[in-house]
Amino acid sequence: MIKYLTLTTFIAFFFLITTGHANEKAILLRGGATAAFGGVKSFDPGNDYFWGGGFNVNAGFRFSNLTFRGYNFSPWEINASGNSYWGRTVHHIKSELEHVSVEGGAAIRTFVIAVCLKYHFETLYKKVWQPYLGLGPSWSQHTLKMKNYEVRRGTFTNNNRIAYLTEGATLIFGIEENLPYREMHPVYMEFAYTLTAVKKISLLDASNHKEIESIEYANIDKHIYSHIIMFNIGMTIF
Amino acid sequence: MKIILLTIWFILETSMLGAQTKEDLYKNQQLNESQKARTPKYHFGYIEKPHSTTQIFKDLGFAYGLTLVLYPLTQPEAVASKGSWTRYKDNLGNIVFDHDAPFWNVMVHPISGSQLYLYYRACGYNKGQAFLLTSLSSALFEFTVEVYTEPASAPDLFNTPVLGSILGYGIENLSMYLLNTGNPLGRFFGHVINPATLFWFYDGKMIITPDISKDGQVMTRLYLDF
Repeated sequence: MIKYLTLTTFIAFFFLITTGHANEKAILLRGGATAAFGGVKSFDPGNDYFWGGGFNVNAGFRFSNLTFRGYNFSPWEINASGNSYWGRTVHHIKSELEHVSVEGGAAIRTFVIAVCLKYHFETLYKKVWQPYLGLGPSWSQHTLKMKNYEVRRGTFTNNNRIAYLTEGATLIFGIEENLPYREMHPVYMEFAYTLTAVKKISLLDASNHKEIESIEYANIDKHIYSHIIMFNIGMTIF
Repeated sequence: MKIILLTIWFILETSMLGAQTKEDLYKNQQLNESQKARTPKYHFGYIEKPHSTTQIFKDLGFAYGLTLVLYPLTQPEAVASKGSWTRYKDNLGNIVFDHDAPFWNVMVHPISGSQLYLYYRACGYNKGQAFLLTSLSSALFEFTVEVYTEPASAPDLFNTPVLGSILGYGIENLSMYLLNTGNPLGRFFGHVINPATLFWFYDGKMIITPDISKDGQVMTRLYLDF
């Protein structure tokens, strides 16, 4: 799905530029900080939730002044967001592949991409804050650096990492300043909930930091879920 | 060491070379006595203009050609050890989540994206167009050049244009501030962080000259050469 979404996106970008619709009012770029609470419900129940902090960026296309069959699409926005955060150590998480099984504490680094359709409500809170709601598919990758671990099967060293690749959906609810000019850098605050299912788990060799290789991977057919609640705060850059 | 010497020479040449007295020091410059600031000879900015489809293709093509040349020059080991046409055919059209260290995803790719963004801004595109063209350039590179060694990466496809454009916006503002100080060190670093301002496609450099009209009014003329 991500392949077709990416192809459609870039074809749309090309037509936006060549047909002159890429005006500054339609395209938005936002960025800010993220506080996250989440975790991977791993192979066995355990204390595998963590707090984390990082940054978020998102790019949006607002359907300004677009009317079709009498309906004004101005409140709608297509948005692609990326969140990167680094979590504090999870106390216990277990990971299993065909030849390796390891459990223990882990520091988690996560990257989430979500493509959402957002709707900006007409109601203004205190004449400035405009609420919005968004929903769309998302993909995330959690990279675990194991600490105080125990190897149950196979070989696992300090240079190895475990990576979980997940697919699912993101729901966003937030408020944004409704200001007349983009140059005033309107501020936004939002809560995003991402629920994804683990599709693939990989064993990585990070002995060469410039080039991290995948040694082994396994496609997951069990129900292993990743839950993330993120609080994003930032402003419109342009 | 050579770079340090060259930098020192550049600064001296543009400011104080040959100066003997305070009058000599400032004879080629006007002092803004009230603001205690230099009066620069040039004003740097960005001129936004419409582009034909042919021009858009030319600008995209130039950036694509640059990535085609720079990739093997900056990653010779990866191209030599991992690159092959068989791998190119296998990787074509695939998108993966790569496992690169944050150094690549959060630093190298955004810096590359920022320079692409600044190139398109120097060519006269507005911020939205520059962001979209950066996205297209990044996609063209990921799907047709880097696939020689590895499949296209979803984090790179996102981070390069989005993080890169945000970083590029910051570099743009900082470089314009530095370039417009009139300070030779400021101009040097303004060009270093925004090298697109040194090339022929950047037409935002204006010469500031004072002028007195026939009826005795004093004004400032800005000459824009493109």
